[in-house]
Amino acid sequence: MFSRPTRMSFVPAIGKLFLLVLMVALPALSAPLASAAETPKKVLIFSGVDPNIPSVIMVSEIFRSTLEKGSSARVQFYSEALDNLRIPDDKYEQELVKLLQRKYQGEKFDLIFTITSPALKFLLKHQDELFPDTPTIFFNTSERDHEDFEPRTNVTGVQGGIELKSALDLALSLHPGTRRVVVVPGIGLRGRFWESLARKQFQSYGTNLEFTYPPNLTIEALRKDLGSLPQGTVVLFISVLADSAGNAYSLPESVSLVAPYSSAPIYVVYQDAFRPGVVGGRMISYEALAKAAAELGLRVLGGEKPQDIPPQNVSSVAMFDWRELRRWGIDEATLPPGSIVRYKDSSVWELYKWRISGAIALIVLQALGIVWLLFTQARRRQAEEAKNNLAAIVETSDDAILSKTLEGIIISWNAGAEKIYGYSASEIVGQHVSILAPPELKGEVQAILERLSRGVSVDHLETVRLSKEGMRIDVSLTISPIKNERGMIIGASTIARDITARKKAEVEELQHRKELAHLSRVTMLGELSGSLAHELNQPLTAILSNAQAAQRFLEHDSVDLDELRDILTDIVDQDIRAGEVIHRLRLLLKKGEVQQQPVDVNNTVQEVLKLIDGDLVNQGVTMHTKLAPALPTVKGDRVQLQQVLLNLVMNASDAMNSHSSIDRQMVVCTELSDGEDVRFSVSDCGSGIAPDELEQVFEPFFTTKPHGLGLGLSVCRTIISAHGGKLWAANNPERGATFHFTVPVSNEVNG
Amino acid sequence: MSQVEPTVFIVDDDPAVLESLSRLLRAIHFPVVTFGSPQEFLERHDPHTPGCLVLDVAMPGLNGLELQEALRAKGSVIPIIFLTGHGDIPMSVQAMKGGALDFLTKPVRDEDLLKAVAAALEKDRVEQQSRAELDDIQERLATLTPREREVLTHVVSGQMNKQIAYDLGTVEQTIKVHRARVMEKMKVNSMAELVRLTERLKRTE
Repeated sequence: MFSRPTRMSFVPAIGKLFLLVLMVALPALSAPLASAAETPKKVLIFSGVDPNIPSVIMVSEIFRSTLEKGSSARVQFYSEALDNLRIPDDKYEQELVKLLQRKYQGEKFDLIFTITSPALKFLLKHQDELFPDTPTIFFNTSERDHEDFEPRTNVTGVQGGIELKSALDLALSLHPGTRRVVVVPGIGLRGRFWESLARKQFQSYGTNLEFTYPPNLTIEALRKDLGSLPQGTVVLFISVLADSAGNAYSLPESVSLVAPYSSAPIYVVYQDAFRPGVVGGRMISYEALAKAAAELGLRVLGGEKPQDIPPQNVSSVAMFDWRELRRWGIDEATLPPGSIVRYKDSSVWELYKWRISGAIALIVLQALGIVWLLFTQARRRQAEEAKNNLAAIVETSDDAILSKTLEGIIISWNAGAEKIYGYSASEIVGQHVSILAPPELKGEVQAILERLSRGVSVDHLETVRLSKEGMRIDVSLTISPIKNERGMIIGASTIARDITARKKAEVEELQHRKELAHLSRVTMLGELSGSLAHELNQPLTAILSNAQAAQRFLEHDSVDLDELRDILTDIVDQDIRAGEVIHRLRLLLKKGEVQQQPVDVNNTVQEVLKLIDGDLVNQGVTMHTKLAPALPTVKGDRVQLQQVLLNLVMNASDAMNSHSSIDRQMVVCTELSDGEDVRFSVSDCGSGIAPDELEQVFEPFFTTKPHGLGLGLSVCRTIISAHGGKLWAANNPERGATFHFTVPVSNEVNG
Repeated sequence: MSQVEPTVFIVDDDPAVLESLSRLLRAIHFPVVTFGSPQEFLERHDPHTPGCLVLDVAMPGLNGLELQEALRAKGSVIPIIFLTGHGDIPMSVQAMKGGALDFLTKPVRDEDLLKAVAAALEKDRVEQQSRAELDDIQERLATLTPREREVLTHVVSGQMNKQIAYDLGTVEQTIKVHRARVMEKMKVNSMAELVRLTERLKRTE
């Protein structure tokens, strides 16, 4: 454990050390080999201006690195400077020539670079005295620098192409509202050259733009001038190398002295002048120029002759200072394609991308960790709360909640159980549950335990239990197995609800319904009295007439015994018929218990029709029956079902009261519907029921009869609902209405 | 027509009642024909058959009262005895207005029924007889010429022959001849008889 990290860090350390040794040793080994192969090439870099100004240093550096890299031979560099713009003295020039002759006596250069045109002029002037026949490559910043240059043997080079008009066009395109242009061409010979060139090239703008050329000024006056320019002005700063006070400046220097104070954007044409405070512009790129010159140098060192290589023009590039673009509100997107933008602020993000990413990742990870911790804590708290809630619910429940082992030993006992059964928890925990069962139901307890051990739960079992005082309590039991974490059944939970009150209410409700049904029947029988009179009168009439006929037959001389026998048979039959009417009436009036028995459907219908037949006849109603054969029995109370049928038939008969007797047709149907119900239908040919009253007719006290109570149909519906069926009304397609009711088929085999 | 024995027709939809009533009437030797429904009777009954009808009021389809109406519409004058389980007043009033002879309540005592049937048959007999007479007179009347009818009208109004002749624009002798022919065709012997016959006709018109 301790040694591993040490070894881990030690191995890369060795690797790094080895690499370092190789890197140091390799160049050291290869250098003597290269120098031994060829004599070194000698190259002189001759600057016309101060060799220490940055652009000259940069150009020399490009010459050096390009030749070092590109040449197969070793290259030795020499450098000299002229600086005769600042010191324009003939004596100095002569002395310098002498010095150089003296200094490089016996030396032979393979190549000379001149930087700026004064250097080239000086060398061409003194070529024969100093370095005759030495190949020379010039680096001139603009065409103007060599306009009086005559091609010579051994001389070629690069020159920058300055186009004032395209430089100004670019500036104007970036400042669309420009009305005024200040051109700074500098003073002296060069200044006049630039000014006349500018005036000539800018003629094409006509009067659209106002051009000013500041007169010969001191640098301070120029600074002041540029500092107070109005809006809509751009400055084209070409070159200032001296002022009217006789001070000489390098270009970078003069630009740096005035540009930061300008109130108008400054555009330049020399890269030298691209200093802080300058927006940029289309300018001669010294890098590009230097690289092109160095390439020429390589070719010459490689053996090509300078006279075979024509001088090259290097076109200017668009270059800008990002800070100034922002200052003048110029969008980078509007710059010409290929523009170089310098001094762009690197954002914090670019500088510290990895560190910032790392820090953010770390913070995110930490936040996730915290969230996870909070989440798990909340979940634990929730679970704990849920557990507490559950315990509180169990404890405050009105239901008895208890648990027991599979053997039936009581393990837990809540307050509800104490209230229902009367035992306290301390009394009963550890006892067997059968203590709660009445003697005749001990077997039930065992059966339940046996079911539970098989994983079968008990749902809402309504049974009876004993309280501590020995009172019988009606309870509804829901018992479920309890499993341990491996899924094994280890006990059971019981929820017992005291349903004594509900049971009592149910019994009362049943009683109430029974009485109402009876009351309704009695009322109905009152209405039926006419029919009953008819039903009794018919057999009584037949009996009386038969008996009196017999008396008269007996007075005849020859008694027809067959006739008498028939008469007696009829009397007996009619007496029985009358007895049956009474019997049916008594059955219907009986206030007996409601019985749930299998009831023969068609038989019940026929009995009812017999009861009401007299009434139907009285009312001139013709009854048709369509009774489906071989119907299963239904489960219910025969008397109540008859009551419903009777009610419907009487209503149907009443509904046709006002119609002529030919039209008083009634149909009673029975049929099996869906295989689970028997459907009874009673149809009349009356006027039907108003659509909005189809449901209303079943409401209590709804009646259309002058003397009706309006209870019949509401009682009928109660009866049919209690039988688990439905009672409804519908109008017939042609005329009249039909009342339908269904009663579930009895599951028992017909008895 | 008059040779046919008067018959008691019974209409009741309850076969047991129908049979018992039929027995009772047969026991006193009335010819009885029974029908199980009013429609059946209406279809098969000949209005000229002498007899009476014992009719149950409450029957499905066409009830007793409706049958009564239908019979009257057919021109039948058969006397009807109604039987009802529970006679209510509006029903009996309607029956009586329709020309019912009697309205009996079930169960009916044999004497009441027999009395009613006897009365009905008697009524029918008288009815049939007077109807036969009337038919006879009508037949005789039909044999007269239009001139003879005119003379008859004047004669029964008590006018003298002379006056009649003057009214009809003829001579007394001609009227005398007509008068004698009328008496002969109407099969009467006296003036009083002729007047009775014409009076009888007037009553039924």
